[in-house]
Amino acid sequence: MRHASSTRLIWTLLGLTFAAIAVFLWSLAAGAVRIPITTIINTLFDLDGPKQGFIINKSRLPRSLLAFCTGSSLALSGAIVQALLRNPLASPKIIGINSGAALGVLLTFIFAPTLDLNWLPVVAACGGILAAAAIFSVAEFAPVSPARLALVGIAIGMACDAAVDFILATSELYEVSAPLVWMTGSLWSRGWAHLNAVWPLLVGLSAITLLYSYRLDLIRLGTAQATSLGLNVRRERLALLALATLLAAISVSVVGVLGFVGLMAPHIARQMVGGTHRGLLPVAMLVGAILAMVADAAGRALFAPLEVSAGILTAMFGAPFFVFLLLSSFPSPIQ
Amino acid sequence: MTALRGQPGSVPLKISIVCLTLAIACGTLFSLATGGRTDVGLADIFRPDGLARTVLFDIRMPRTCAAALLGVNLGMAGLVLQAITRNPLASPAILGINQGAALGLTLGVVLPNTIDLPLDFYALTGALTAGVVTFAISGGFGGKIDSLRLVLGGVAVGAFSYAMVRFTYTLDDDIARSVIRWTVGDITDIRWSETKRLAVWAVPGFLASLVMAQRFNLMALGQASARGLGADPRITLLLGTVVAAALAGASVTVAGPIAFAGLIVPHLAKFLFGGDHRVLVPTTALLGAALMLVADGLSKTLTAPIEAPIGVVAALMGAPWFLWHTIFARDVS
Amino acid sequence: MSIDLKSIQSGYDGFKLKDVSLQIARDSLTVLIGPNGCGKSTLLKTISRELHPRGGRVLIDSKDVTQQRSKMVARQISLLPQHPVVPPGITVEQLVGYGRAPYQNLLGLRSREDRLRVEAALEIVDLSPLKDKLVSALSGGQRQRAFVAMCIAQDTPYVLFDEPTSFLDIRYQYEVLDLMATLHEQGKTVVAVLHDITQAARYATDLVVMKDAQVCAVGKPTDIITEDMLSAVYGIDARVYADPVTGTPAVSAL
Repeated sequence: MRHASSTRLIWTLLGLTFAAIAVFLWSLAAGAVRIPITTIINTLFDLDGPKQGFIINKSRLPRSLLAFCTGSSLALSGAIVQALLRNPLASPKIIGINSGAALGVLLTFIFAPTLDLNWLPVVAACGGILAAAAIFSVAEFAPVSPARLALVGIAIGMACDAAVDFILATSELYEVSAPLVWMTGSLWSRGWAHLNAVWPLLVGLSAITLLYSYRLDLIRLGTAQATSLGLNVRRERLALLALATLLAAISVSVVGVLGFVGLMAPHIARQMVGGTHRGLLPVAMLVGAILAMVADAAGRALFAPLEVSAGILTAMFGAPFFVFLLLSSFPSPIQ
Repeated sequence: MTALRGQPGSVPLKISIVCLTLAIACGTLFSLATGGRTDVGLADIFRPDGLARTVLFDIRMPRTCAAALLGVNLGMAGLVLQAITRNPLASPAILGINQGAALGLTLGVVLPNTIDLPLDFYALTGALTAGVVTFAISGGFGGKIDSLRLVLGGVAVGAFSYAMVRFTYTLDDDIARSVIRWTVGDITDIRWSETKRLAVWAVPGFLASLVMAQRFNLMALGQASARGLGADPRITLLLGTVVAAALAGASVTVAGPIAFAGLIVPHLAKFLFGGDHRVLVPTTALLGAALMLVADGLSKTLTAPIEAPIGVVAALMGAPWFLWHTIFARDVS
Repeated sequence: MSIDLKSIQSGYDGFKLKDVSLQIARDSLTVLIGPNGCGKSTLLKTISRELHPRGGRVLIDSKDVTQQRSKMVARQISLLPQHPVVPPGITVEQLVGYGRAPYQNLLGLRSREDRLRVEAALEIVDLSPLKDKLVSALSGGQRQRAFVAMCIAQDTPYVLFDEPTSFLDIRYQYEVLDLMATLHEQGKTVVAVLHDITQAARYATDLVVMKDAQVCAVGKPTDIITEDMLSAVYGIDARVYADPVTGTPAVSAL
């Protein structure tokens, strides 16, 4: 039977890969200027025939790749957080990482607007880490239920949002209009510079996370059981929280807050391949990447020539999905 | 329902009322004395001459009254929500009611007006819908209310509403400009007409809450017990939701969403005055007024000459408190 | 060979246990009993390393637990926690497989031996036909057996059970207790926290009675369970008689 579930995993991964490629091509095609597939192929592989070098190479290619990277990183972050909090309703947003990262980046925009883009992930990471550290301290020093931990995360998120609002409200409009748009979660005008600032980090962190698959399984069994199975729970929790924070914070630093991706992707993945993280993580990554690319492409395509931020779309579809999850988790109690 | 520390209601009631009245008086003075025109100050309140009179009566007074009324409305909304959900973290913002009101308002502005209703009703409908949806998610209309599902449901409803609001103003710049100031509560340009609207909702809201106070007390014993004592929890839930939504909706229409007032004020009141809602309703109202008056004064003085919107000040006052409470309080499930 | 607790000071906040020493003999089926809040669960959790003692030492076969790598200790003691967490989307076989974690590297690759042990464990608890079912879809009794199977797969000389009968109806309570006895017969040392005195007396070879974070009595059930003890420790008036089925002491409150 293990044989069969490996088969299922392979087929799922293959299917998702094809889906991802298809969505990627759609993402290159969609927007104010509709580009046919043949033109895309010509441009990408530098063949003879009509090309759209500028739009594709300068704008849509880096943007779609960025959506792929951040979507998959957010999904991984969400999977980790859900295992750590033993709560399938948790996500990086819920535990305040996103807000902390956003605060960090906003402060940077305000106080150092000329800072090189490559520093953004660092700043965001710091903000996110501080928020996560607060939550982690609570988890360590005051043993609380996962429910309470989620509430602390919400509290920290709200505190950071309050600080963000304060800054936005007391600054001149021109200082904050750009960050305002950016923070809604958007890939608008993201280019190669943004992508290059983050992809090595995200790829590296994702690879490390995949190595943690088995340990995530054990952590999911609860502290008592994981300890008795020989895991150094405290150390591993710290490492995993750091990974989740960095993955989410770095993504937030370049695309703003893409809500609900970190929540939905692991769930969809779990429905497809079950709960062992060896299969769950790669599938979640692909699902997250697809979700982010779809949100971005749809935002460009549906209301062309207007562009709706990806973050708005993920919230519009993510929130009802989240509610559906909430409702269907009744009556089985949250473990 | 228990207070955080110390004995609930340990402060003798008479002294508390006196202190509250003093607080309101100070707050009022603080609020009236500060403002854009720094030449109109404390002394002018008692002997207003021509310019000062105009400034005080036409500009500052409506705003001061509005601040007080906002405190009353939001404090009551928070109290009611906490009572009917038996959850100390419930508040109009957390349950998505503020955002729902904002969405209602936005739709009211965007959609072609087939029926010419005042914006208040759109806000009220939005607030009500959001509240109802959140309660439904938490299981409130069926069996028990699950605390975690309530809060998370509120987050979802709030996020969805907020996304829809931003969506509409992506589509239309004019709307963007008028809606964007609703990101946080702001009463900078309030005039008497808007203040009157707040009063129109505050009075019935207050009276309704007073009438339901005993029901709230019974709710605290648990839905089953409440039913057994003749107070059908579903009616309490329904009426409470309507009252809270109306009060929150009115506040959002006038001032935009203000996050923490509805959360902190009831807590503080319970800490000082105990758990009896017949006492809590009036004292929460007064306390809310006092706090918001202080917040208004602070909003004008903290970052002078730039004004920090009142919602932001309230958030800055409330967020650390909220954080502390979530971590250390024992009555959160 | 035994588990030795020396002058243990342990607990969640504040210290529950102040200076507790106990020796659990190898090959025994030792049961800890006592009124609510007496510290029996705290003691078990200190042995299982869920709680770190602030004072004193926990020795397993004369080796200090804190001096060894977590994985090594995990090959000596296994635990069935009081509220086992059921991860979503995991089958019975996968769950039992986690019991092999102390023997695997961190990538969790299964060896042939791992697979054999898992199959054997499933056989013992009679869950082989259900091995591909989701754990979350099992009944309470079946779920408990799955977690017992995980302990069996962990293949440790010492097995700890923390209130294994909680929330189970009577049939499944005795199912789990019989499994406990089977493990004991197979040569494992079992340490369990039970709240039912009669059940404890029926299954235990050695009984440890605790009250107010202190060990009050250690010995055989027939020696320890007396009406005086029940009155002093539990504050109840009760009659002790020989269980008509097993002959072990049974308690009936007056």
